[in-house]
Amino acid sequence: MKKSKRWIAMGLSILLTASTAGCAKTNTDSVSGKQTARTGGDVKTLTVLMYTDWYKAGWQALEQYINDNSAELGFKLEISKIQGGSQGDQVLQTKFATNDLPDLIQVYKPQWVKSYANGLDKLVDLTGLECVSEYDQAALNGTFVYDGKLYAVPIDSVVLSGIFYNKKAFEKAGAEIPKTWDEFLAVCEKLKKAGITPVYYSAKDAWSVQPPAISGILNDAAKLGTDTFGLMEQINTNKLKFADCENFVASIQRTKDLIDLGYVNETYLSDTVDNAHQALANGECGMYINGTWCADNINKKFADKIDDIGAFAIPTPTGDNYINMFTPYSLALTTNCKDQELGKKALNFIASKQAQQIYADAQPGVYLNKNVTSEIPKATADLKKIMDSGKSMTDWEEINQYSYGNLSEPLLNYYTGTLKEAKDVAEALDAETERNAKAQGDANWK
Amino acid sequence: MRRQSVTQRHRVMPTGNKEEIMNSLKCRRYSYTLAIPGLVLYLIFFVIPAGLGLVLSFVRILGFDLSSARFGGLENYIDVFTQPNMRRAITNSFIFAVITTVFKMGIGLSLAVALNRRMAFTNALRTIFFLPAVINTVAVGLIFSSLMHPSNGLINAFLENVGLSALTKSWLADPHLAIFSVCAIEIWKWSGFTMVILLSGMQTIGKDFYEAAEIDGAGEFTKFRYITFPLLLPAFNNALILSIIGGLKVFDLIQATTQGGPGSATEVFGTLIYKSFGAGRFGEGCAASMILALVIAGIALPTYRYIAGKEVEM
Amino acid sequence: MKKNRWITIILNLVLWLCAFLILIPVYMVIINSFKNQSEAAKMNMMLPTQWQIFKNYYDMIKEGGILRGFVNSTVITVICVLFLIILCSTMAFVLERRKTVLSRMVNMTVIFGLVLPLQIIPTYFVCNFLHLTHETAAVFVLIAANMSFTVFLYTGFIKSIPQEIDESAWIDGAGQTELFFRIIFPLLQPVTITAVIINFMAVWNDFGISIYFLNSAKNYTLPLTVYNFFGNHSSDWQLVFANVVLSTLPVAAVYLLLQKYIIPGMTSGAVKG
Repeated sequence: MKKSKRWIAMGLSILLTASTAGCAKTNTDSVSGKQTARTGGDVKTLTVLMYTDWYKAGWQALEQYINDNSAELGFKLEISKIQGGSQGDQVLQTKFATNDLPDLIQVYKPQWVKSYANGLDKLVDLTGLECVSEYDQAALNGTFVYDGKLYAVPIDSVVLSGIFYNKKAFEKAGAEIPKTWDEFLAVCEKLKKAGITPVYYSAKDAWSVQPPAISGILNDAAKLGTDTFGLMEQINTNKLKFADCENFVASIQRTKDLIDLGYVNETYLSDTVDNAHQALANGECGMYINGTWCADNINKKFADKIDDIGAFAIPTPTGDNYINMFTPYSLALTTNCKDQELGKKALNFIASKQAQQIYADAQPGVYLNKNVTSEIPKATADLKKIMDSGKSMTDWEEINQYSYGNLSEPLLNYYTGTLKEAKDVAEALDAETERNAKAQGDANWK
Repeated sequence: MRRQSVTQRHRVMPTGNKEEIMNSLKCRRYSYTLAIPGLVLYLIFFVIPAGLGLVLSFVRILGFDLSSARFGGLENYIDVFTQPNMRRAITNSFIFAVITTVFKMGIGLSLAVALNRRMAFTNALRTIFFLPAVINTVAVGLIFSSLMHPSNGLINAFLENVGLSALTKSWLADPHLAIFSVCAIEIWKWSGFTMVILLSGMQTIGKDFYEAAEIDGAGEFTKFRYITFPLLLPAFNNALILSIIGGLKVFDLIQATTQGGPGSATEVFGTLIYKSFGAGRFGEGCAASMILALVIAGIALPTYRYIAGKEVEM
Repeated sequence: MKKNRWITIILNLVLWLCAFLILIPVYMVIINSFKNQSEAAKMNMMLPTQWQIFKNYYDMIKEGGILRGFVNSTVITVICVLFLIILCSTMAFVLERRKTVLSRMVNMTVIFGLVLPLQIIPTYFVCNFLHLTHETAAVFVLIAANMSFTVFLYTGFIKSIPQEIDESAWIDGAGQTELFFRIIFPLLQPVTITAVIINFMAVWNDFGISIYFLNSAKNYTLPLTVYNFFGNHSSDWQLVFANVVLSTLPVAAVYLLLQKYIIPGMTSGAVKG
């Protein structure tokens, strides 16, 4: 009996010390908070929520600047982060459903909020914000301007996807940038003969098997005389199926052909994106198909090698090559914000040249704000040139109405033999779209 | 509570035979007062959400928006069974549960027996074996993904060094092998845990039993078979059931190591439910949870009863 | 006697070999937390060429808001474990001893919680409906999630405590509270220790529940902080591993402290004489 009392006593004392420690910390926080507030007047804090991977050097710099100058700007930011990926997605979905939202929220795009979280009514219409003049209206349409309303401002950089190659490796093998698929295969052969892995797949990080397979469908859009918005409009209303997109299916097949022809690293199923960065930077592999995050990462980890890396579009048989453009993330104002005017003011500032330049200086990339300049890695510049020449389309994967599942899954099933043909991959996407459309009672699917 | 003196209680006792009196006293003695706080908490935070989940499993709903619910009958349940990966998930869940249970119990029991004695480093060994259970699942996923890499990984490197290169495999990347590799990770992580539960049970077996047996000249094995094991049955039963349930319910470990991959090679019930929720098919996710609960209950309950029937109550 | 010594030696050898195998992954976590970024990304067993112990841990603590997470984790875990021990032991005792149909049914409901996967989303809705603060909700949900298991552990153990003990206590005039806390609870020590260890682990390492409720800068717990370094597109592995080491130490310490207290043969003396 004495022992149990001792336990309770010990437990309670731990509890007390811990909570006093916790209280002490909050006390000091609020005390110091009060002090700064007293000097600068009562500055309101706006809460922000985003995924941890989105909080990098750019946001750090911007947050620092805003909080240091909160007296002039009239607001402070309090940024909370949660883990990204599918788990974070579910948390966000739940938060939208229960109206448990911060003042400002960073999301993929308004369309995602509508399709996956059914929460578009919880975002405030931002039409009329001054900063809009600093952006190309065309760039905002369809993504940030949805259904006629401006739901969010762009935050972070544009990501372009393409093939990143090691210039030194190409020199060593005597290869040049290929324009058509046949030329591409020839380049692979040359690299292989020179003892360099032609193409690196990093399938252990399942998401990274997607970039090689996502640009074929852009040719389908071009064939239909429209862009990805037009294409997805048809898919979203069941007028077109993924399996009917011949270029899409063919491009999936080509990604597997590379494996079968021995142009891909043998252990691709266990190799990670980190392995890929290393291999590409060191010239052990010739090419890696990914998004411009790749260049950013190599810049961070192997800064001395970044100039050796260039990029080009994935070649198609006809030579009509497009690249995918992933629009920046969206920063939106929620209906939960008590002071909407302040929220709008904050967003206006964050989207304006001054804030965006601070962001871009800390985190170089391609930014939508016309007045922002940034020193981007050579590879990113290569892809930007392609984008500026008009050979890019907004990525289709973010403008679907119904979830088609995770593209990596059927792709990997195809590579490992569970699915027999490239068309099966497309059909898997169709089947999943159908399930979800029917679950929501969409009349277009019987 | 006021202490009643023995004589006072005699006066208050109703007349009747001793059996009845003792029984009614027993019931009155064990009032619910002590248990109410716990039951209330459990009710609000577990039973009610479970009930809500049950109701939602019969409903077609848009995302997580409750106001859009329409009655759907058994549609969600049918949807669960017509999932393309369903058969894979069922097979994998069962393989995982059976294999991990057998090995966890076997290894856990051996370790518990070996360490149930005062040797020089018993405490240290017990801690070491328990340590894997304490590590974050995310970290475990990272470490083993690295260990099991076909070319850089330690496991294959070791096998090659000792001349067993024929045994090297793509542990987590081979679709046929992946689920077994994940089983191995689970066994590594939780065998020590099983050992702790069994040790805890062993400690309650009174020394006098062993003394009596030794006087009668019993050897180690006899002692184990006729004293330790039968008296250990309650703890053994507990550990067994927990292992079976945990195996069928598994999600964290699969998500941390293979995410159900490569492709859908290591898909299990848990990951299917997770993906249903992720795709916004809320009703289907709830239905799948219900089905899983019924399956687990259907297996665990009879097993528990069977073994409990053989327990020797002290 | 000689035979016994040989057996002990061989047994020790085998055990230590197994222990060594178990420890390899643990060693990897620790050693990789000492390396610089590119070496840590390789995740092998080599010793670091550049020992960055202090830098890594310092960076991690500074960047990840670790101290906050540590305090939050400690407070939440201690509260949950205390509640779990007290609530569940009493529940198990009453439900097990009181042999009525109702108590059997309630017992079944509680045990059924073991097989039902935790439905986090309906639970979130309920908490939202009750307008609970995030921290309170997290504590309650964490307790409820681990209740079935703890009650299960206690029930099994209580069965093995003979009812004669209760009866002798009644004869001495003890009331129910006294009976439980003065006499029965101390007898439950082995299973209480086990329950403390297991629940401490479960709540400290919890992820699936915490991520829903504890995601503001002020109230997140330690396991969630690992994702500050480990994103979807890039990771600072050396910081990830440093974080893992720091997260694991407290639980390991708790186990080390408590496992000495499992004393053999608690009930052997109780009913004699």
